[in-house]
Amino acid sequence: MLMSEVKENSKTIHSEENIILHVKGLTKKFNEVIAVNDVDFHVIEGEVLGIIGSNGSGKTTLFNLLSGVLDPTNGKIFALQQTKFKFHEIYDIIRNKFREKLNFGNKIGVNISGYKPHTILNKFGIVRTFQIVKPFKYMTSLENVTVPNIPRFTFSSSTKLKTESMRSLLAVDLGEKQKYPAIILPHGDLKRLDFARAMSTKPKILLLDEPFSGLSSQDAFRVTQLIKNTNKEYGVTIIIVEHKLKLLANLVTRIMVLDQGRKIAEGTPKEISKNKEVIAAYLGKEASQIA
Amino acid sequence: MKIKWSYYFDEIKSRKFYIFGFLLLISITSLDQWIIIGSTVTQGQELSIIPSNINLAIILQKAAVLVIFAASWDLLSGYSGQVSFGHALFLGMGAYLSAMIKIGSSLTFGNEFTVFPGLPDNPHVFFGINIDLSVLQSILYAALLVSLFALVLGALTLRMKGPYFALVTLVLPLIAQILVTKIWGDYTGGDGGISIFNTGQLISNPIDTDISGLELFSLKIEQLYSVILVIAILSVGFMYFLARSRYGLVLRAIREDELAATSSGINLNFYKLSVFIISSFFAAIAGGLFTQTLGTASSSIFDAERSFEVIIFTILGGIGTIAGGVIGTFVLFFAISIYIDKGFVDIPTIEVLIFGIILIIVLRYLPRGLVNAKPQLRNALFFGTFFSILTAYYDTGVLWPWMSDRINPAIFLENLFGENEKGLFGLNILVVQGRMILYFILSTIAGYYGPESLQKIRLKLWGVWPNLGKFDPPK
Repeated sequence: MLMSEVKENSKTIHSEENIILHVKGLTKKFNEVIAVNDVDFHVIEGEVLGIIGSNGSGKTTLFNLLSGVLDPTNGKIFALQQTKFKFHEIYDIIRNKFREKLNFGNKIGVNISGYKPHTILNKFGIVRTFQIVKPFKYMTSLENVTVPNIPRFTFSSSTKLKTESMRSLLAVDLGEKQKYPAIILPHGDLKRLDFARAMSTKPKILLLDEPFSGLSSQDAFRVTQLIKNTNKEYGVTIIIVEHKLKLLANLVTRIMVLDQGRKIAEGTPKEISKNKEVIAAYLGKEASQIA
Repeated sequence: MKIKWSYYFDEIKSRKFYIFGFLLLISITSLDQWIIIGSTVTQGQELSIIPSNINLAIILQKAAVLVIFAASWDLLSGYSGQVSFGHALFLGMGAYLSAMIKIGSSLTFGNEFTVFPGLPDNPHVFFGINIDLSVLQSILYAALLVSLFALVLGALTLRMKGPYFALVTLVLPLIAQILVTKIWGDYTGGDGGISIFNTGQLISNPIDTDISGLELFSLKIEQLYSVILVIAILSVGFMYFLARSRYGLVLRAIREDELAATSSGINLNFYKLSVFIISSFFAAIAGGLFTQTLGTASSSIFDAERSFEVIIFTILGGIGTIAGGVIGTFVLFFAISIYIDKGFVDIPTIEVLIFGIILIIVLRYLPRGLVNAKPQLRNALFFGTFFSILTAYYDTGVLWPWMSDRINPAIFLENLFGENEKGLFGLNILVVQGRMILYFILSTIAGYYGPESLQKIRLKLWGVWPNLGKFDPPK
C-alpha cells in the first residue's frame, strides 16, 4: 500500500526502532468486570517482551484480544500486514481499506481489533499458544503440525506439505513421535508440540501463554532454548506471559507488569524487580515499604 | 496403564478389504435361490408370481442407497463434529424435489406460474441397460437445489454448537413432514406421496420386449441395482477421498478443538459451511435414488427413524471413517432384512428394539466401530463373512458345480447331526441361510483364535513356547 493512501488524520510514531505492534487504550469488559483496562504498549521488531502479573490480572485476556479470539470493548491494535489478501477475500479487502491506519516510521499499521483469529494469523502473522495445551487429541503429532500449514500450502503437493510439517516437528525434537496420537504424549511433549504448531505458521509475532506451566526444570530449560533459538535464528518477535519473574529474567529484553487489568510498570527485568508498585502488587503494600 | 495407541487411528487402510468388498457386492446378485424373506414373498415365489432372487436385489438396492446417506452423515457429523439428528431432511427434500422437477410443477398466487417446467423422457442404452437420463438429471438438479438450501440453513446455524445444532436439525424434518402432508398437499400428493410410475422410472423397459412380465420385473430390479451401485461407489469414493485429503484433516481438527483450529489459521466458517453443503448434496442424491427403490416419494421419508437409523449404522461401522458407514450399513441392513425380519415376522417393529441393543453393545465394547476394532477381531469377522459366503456359493453350485455334487456340506452335516428340522441350536442346517450362519460363527471363532494358536503350535515345535523369556539374561 502506498503512503499517499493513508488518511490524513492518521498519526505517525516517531521512533528510531522498528515497531511492529502498537496497542492503544485496549479495554475489555465482561459485564461489569473489567479484565483489561486501558492498556497501551508497543512491541519492537526482534525483541522478547515479557508480561507478568498475578492471577486474574488480565494477561490471558490480553492475549485473547491480540489473537482475535475475543473482540475488545474499546481500543485499537495496530499491526503490520505481512501477506496480501487473495482475490476471493473481497470482503476483507474492503474492510481493510476503511480501517484506521497508523504510520510506523516507514511502514503502515492497520487496526486489527475485531478481526477473526485466522485473518490475524494468516495476514498479520500473529500466532498464539495456549496456557492449557489444546492439541488435536486423536490426531498424530505430525497431523497436528500439518493443520496450520494447510492455509499456506492448500494446493501444493502433499510431499511439500509433509516436508514442511516434518521440519517444524523435528525442530522441537518430536520427530521420533510423529505417528503418536497427541492423547498419549506427556505434558512436556505437548507443550513443545503446541510450540511447533504455532511456529509452523511462520509467524512474525509469537504470543506464548505461560510456556513453562507444569514443566520440570529439564523441560523448562528445553523450552527456554527453543524460545531463544526462535528469536535469534528466525527473527521472530516474542511476547511471553508468565507468573514468575525468575524464569523470564535471562530471556526477555523488556517486561510489562499488569495488575487488575492495568499496566503498572514497564522496563528491563532489573528495573522491574526494584519497582515499588510491582512489589506492592505481588506482596502487598507493607512489603513495598520495607523494600 | 499401557495404552494401545494403535487403536485410535488404525483404520482399515489395506486395499484387500475394499477390493473383496466390491467384488462381493457385484457378484452377490448372481446367487440364485438362497435367501427368501417375508411370508407374502415366499408365497408369491412358491406360486412363481415373484422371481426367486428378487428380494436380494431389492435389499441390496436400498442398502446401496443408504450407504450414500450414511457416508454423507459421517462426513458432516463424524468428521466436522456437527452432529445432525435430522439428516433425513435432505434425504426427503432430494426425494420430493427430484420427483417434482421430473413431472414439473406450478404454483398459483392469483396467477399460475411454472416453477419447474418438467423434463421429457430421454432414454439411452448403456451396457445393455436402458437408462432414462432425465431422471438422473432431475436428481442432480434436486441435489443442487438442496445444497443451495443448505447454504442458507448452514449460514443460519453456523454459530450453533453441540446440542443446539442437534436440536435444530431434529426439529426441521418434522416441520418438513407437516408441510409436505398438510400444507403443500396439492403439489406433493399429500399422504400418498408422488409415485414414480407417474413421474418416471430410472430404468426404462428394454428395447427387445420378447421376455415375459415376470422376467422383465426381475431384470429391471437387477439393472436398477447395478446403476445405483455405480452411483454409490462414485459418490462414496468421492467422499472417502475428500475425507482422507487435507480437507478432511482440517475437518477433524475442527472436530477436536475449534479454538485450537482457528488459532492455527483455519477459516472455521468456510469449512463448516462447505462440509454442510457437500453432505446435503450427497444426502439429496441418496433421496432421489431412494424414491426409485421405494417406488414413491412419501412423507415417511422424513421420519425420525430414518435419521436415527443412519446414525446407528455409522456407529456400528465406526464414526469418523467413511468406510465405517458403508460397512455398518451393509452389515446391519442385511442382518435386519434377511435374518431379523424373517426370524420375527410376528413382531412388526422388532428392528427398533434390536437397534437399541446393538447400539448399547457396540458403544460399550466397540466404541470406535468395526473399522477401528482391534485387528484380530476385524480380520476374524472379515474371514467369517468371506468364508460363509464362499460356502454358500459352493453349496448352491455356483462355484465348481461338479465338485459340490460330490462333496456337499449339507449332506455332511446331515450325516453328522441327523436330519432334524429344528437343527443345531435353533439353526436349521438344512437350508442354506442356516448353514451360512453356522459357518459364519465357526469361521469367525477360528479366525479369532486360529492364527494365535497356530503360532503357538509352531513355537512349541521349535521348543520356544512356553519358555518364552525364561532364559533371558537378568536386567
